[in-house]
Amino acid sequence: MNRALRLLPLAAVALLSACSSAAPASPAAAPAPDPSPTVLPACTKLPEPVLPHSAGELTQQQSGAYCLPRGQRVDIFLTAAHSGDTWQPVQATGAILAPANTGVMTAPLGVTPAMFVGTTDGTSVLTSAAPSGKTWKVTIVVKG
Amino acid sequence: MAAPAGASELAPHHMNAHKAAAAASSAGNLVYGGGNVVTSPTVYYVYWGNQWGTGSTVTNDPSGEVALQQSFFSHAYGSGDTFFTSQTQYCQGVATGTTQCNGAGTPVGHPASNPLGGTWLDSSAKAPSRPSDAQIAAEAVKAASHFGISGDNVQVIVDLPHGVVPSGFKTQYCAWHDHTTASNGADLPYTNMPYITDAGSGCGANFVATGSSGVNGTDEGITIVGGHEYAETLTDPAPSSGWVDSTGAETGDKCAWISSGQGASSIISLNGANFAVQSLWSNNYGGGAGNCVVSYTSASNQH
Repeated sequence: MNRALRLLPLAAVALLSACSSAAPASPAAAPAPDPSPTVLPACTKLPEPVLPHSAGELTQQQSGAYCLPRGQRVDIFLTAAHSGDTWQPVQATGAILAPANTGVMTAPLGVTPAMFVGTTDGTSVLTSAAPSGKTWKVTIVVKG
Repeated sequence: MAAPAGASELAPHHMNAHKAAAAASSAGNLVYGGGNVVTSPTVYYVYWGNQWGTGSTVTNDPSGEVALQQSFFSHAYGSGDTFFTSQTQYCQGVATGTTQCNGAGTPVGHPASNPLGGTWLDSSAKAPSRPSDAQIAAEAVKAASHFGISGDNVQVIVDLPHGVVPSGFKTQYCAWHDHTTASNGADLPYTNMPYITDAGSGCGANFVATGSSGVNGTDEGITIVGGHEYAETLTDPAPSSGWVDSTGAETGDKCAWISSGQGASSIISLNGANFAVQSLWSNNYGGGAGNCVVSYTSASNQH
């Protein structure tokens, strides 16, 4: 879910609040309900990592939604099927994932690495594409 | 500083044709994160496990990696090394967010003499066939105790023997560096260095055309990867508090596997001996634009 969608419930509550403030107050009225908490999609545990300080890793074999504990790191390794078909750098939607240090390792020739740390709860979509037209997409669900 | 004799680039832009050209990272210059750099580098090797040999001497090294690694670092010093000099532009003790030290702070050190501080064959036991990250870190700590060293100016390279394949080697990485805590509580940079030639072309074998340099193509990955990790430890010994770019890449990562054009991997001479290397990132190239270089004598004399 992108940031705009996540803010929609808050905007709706603010609007309702503004409308209700024009109506006469009733001493018997129940307090306004809290905004609905953001419902995060179901997700799968990340595959075991190979690098230190990581919560797990993904390759081009994975798809779907994976859970990342807030404050922890996910590593991505996309391997080219053949010379000349190297995956593009991995892009992450929104701002809940921050790029982390990939430079600690020398990646093998033809491997596109990426690392992200989950900074706040929410979802982000990771994507990449290869020159042959192949695409890769995984959803990361960050939860505290 | 004048370009020293014997420090020339022997085979620039002369790559094997079958390799795809990679491009330098477009994520901008390295940025200082506020931590340490290595101001006086010394390298220590531990050959982990009795697969290397059962006594105090390495006897099982089918690719001759030990001799090549030692030769590489033993030649990386003084005016005869214009390769690692590019990293001396980075520094510590300046404001976080700095991209150009311009002489401020304390720079990354460039050794005046052989930076190889010691080697040790730890043949006390067999190294695990698939060692974990924690086991590799523990071996680095053990080696540091053996050498009596610690702190960010030293780096322990944990050399894994032929046939030992830690999880991810060959497929996700060729080598990596990290830091841990020495037995005295001080910081300890170390490198997980598997037996690189076991990975073949994926980790640099035959990446650079050798011409008449005398370099063995199948061994090129030993120094390409070794130089990459060494330079990254110089500039970011306690990841990622040193110098990294906006995507988290370090100096070697930004220039890995470039096969043509600016920053192409090359065979260089270090004090008269030839080695295959990849380029390293230079923030002050092109008036501060930054790019990958294999030779550096000053901000205005680099390529």
